[in-house]
Amino acid sequence: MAGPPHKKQRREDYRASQREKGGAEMPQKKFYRQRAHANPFSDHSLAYPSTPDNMDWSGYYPEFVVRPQEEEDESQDEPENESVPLDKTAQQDTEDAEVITKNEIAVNPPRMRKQVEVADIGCGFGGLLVALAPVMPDKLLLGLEIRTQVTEYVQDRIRALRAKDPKGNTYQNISCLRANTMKFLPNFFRKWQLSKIFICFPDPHFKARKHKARIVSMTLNSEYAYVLRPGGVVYTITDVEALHEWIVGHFDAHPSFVRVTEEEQEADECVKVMRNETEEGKKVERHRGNKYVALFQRLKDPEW
Amino acid sequence: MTGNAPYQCIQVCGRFLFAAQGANIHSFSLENGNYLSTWKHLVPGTTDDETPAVDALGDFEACAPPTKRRKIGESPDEQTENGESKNSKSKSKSKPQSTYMIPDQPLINLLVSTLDGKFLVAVTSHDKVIRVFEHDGEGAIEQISQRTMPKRPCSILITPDGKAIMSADKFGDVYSLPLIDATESTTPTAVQSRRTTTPTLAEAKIAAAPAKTDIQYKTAATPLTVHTARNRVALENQMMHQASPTQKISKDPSILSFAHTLLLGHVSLLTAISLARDSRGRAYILSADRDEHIRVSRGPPQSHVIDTFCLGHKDFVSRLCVPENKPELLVSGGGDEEIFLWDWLNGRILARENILRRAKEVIPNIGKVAVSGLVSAFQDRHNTTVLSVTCEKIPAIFIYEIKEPCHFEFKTTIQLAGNPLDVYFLPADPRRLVVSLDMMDCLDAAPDVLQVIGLTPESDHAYPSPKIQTNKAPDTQTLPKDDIRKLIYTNEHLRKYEGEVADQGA
Ligand SMILES: C[S@@+](CC[C@H](N)C(=O)[O-])C[C@H]1O[C@@H](n2cnc3c(N)ncnc32)[C@H](O)[C@@H]1O
Repeated sequence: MAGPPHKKQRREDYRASQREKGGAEMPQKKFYRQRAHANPFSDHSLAYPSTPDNMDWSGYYPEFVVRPQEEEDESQDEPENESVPLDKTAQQDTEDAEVITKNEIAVNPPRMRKQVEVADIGCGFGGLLVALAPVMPDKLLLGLEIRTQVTEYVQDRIRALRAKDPKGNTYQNISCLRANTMKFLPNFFRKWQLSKIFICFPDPHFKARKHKARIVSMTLNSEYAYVLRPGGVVYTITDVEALHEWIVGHFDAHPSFVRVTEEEQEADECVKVMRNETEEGKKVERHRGNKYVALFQRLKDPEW
Repeated sequence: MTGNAPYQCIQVCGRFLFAAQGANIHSFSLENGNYLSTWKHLVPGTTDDETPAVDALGDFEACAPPTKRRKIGESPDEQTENGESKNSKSKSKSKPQSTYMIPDQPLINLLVSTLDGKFLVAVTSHDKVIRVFEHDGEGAIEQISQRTMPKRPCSILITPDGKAIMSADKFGDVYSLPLIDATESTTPTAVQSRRTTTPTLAEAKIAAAPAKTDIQYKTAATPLTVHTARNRVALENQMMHQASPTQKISKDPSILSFAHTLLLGHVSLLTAISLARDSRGRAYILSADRDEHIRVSRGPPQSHVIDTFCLGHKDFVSRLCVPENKPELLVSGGGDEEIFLWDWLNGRILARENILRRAKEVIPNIGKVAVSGLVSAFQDRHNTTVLSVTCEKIPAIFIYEIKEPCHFEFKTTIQLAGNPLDVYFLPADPRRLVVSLDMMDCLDAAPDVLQVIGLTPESDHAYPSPKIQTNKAPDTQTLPKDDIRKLIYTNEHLRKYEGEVADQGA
């Protein structure tokens, strides 16, 4: 986590001055370094909503918050933001009604005009998000990253990019938050909310006894299928051939997914971006390494 | 311990009460309270029996020196300790870890039975073994199989048809195994193409024959693979370990010698599983974890499909209860002040009930509770669904009715002479409960550690309950009180330590 005190101090000074300048200056990576791995099984001290309805997105996508007069215009019903209501009758009948109402389900985060539709899992330093922002200008993209420092780097980077645009129109559709996606994906996203999930250059966890730490597995794929709508696509890329085989093996074996043909894959603009614009992808490029790409489409659930 | 050693879990099979004390199971008659017999778990040094209890199926860990301690609370941390760089390691040690050392002693932590009472299944937590017993119909049981699971089972059930065991473990996986282990020399059948059959989630992983996904990896990276220096070292290490060629796509399941299916998995410690059916008779698996989730998956063979989550708990979930006569409902409880009533199929909260408030009426100065027991029964004479709620170290049972349209109606608090460890409604008479109590601090020579009690004083008078003759059962508990306490009170330790909360703005 934090380095020696003086390093930490320098880091804080740097960030403070960044903010003073209005965040328009591009952040420097060296002030955001963090060890390569965070244990996905441990508790950390993560912040996450107990349900997607309680998630406040307004700080992440300020341009997409529903403004007061818009609110009046469409005040009837908006299925997207519908919260899980308490059974009203039950509430009245229970002797503890006052206890129920103080609970956070009653808390209403500001309503958003759009919801996140594209997730970059383990987004690292955010290269993919930044490159995809203009490719999908009408969609909200979110990077999820477990390392605090790295998350803050991406947040500062996006803040700087937004500030650079005098009209303030670009990069409003991308954001990044700290999360352990292996545990808390359903806290942020509703069933079938996403249309695309990117998993780029995931940590390989070579050792067999650490395979449960891999971000792709049969059991986790069920969670990806839960947040991904039928027809949605998981994009994967890695430079580790055996990890690629693992990924393909586990998605192929999962009845909710089918591999996208190479033809379709190569025709997909996102694939080009994924190959060339992620930080890891660039590193691999410099070392002339291989890049293994595989896309999987989420099928409809069978009858039950 | 003499006379007042606690029974940490109990199971009623018709006229019989089975109760686990340490690693042994005693049986009693519920008609007259007589002690009937004991199944003894044989471990060298802990019993008077000199025959070594180690057998072919690997009771090896059971023989580990009693000084060995086991961590609970924290999820699969042991897996990843090497994933951190050296300088960070010292630091992560200094911060509070939600780990808790418990004695690595033979202990039955789970006990269930088939509906017909012909078979019992117990889990001994120290060695991760699932044991199946045949019941002779007279209160005596005999072990017919034991299977060592890859990780410690934390919740098990037997499917209503009595054919399969579902086991949810500490690393988040749920396995299904046949109740009767017919592990003959299995001729491995290759897994067929998944589009022509409907395979369960794990078939591909578990098939003994090399299947599409069961690739034997040679090395995990080609020379062209570029990564950090540390990864390169890992790769070299891996190449050195090529001598053991059994590295397959699945880590541990491949070493299990018996039939089993991986149904689903969380990346968290699982605390409870339940089965339920919707109004159309479709089966679902409800699984709860330490990270506040309750997942609703379809039953086999579609357990890879998550239909919804029941989200709303703010702390760990430790118990689930689907009322027998209202299978569309679910009651959940854990580290929160409240217990929840759910329309589980739609992930909808129907009602909440503050249980901390009730617990405070018993012990005023507590600030939190951990629900340790949720059981329900249908009283057909009154057409009511009763719910019993117990909390760790609270010497009381809270009785509710689950009422239409859907809420909890508090009925009564039954004060107890000791902390309840397990509670069971008598199937033959759901106005009465069997409860197992911790009376280790009781000064009596032989207090009633197993009691049959009525829900109301009237029912107590109307149906005098037998006195369970626990004083006649052999005293098999050899551990000191403090160790016993650590073994039987495990729920509160699921709570996470409060760390600083990361800020949420972008
Ligand atoms: C090798 S980096 C790749 C970064 C980026 N996708 C790229 O291609 O440049 C993998 C990233 O995944 C993150 N990560 C690993 N496990 C994670 C988890 N459970 N939740 C969120 N992020 C995770 C790591 O912190 C790391 O930044």
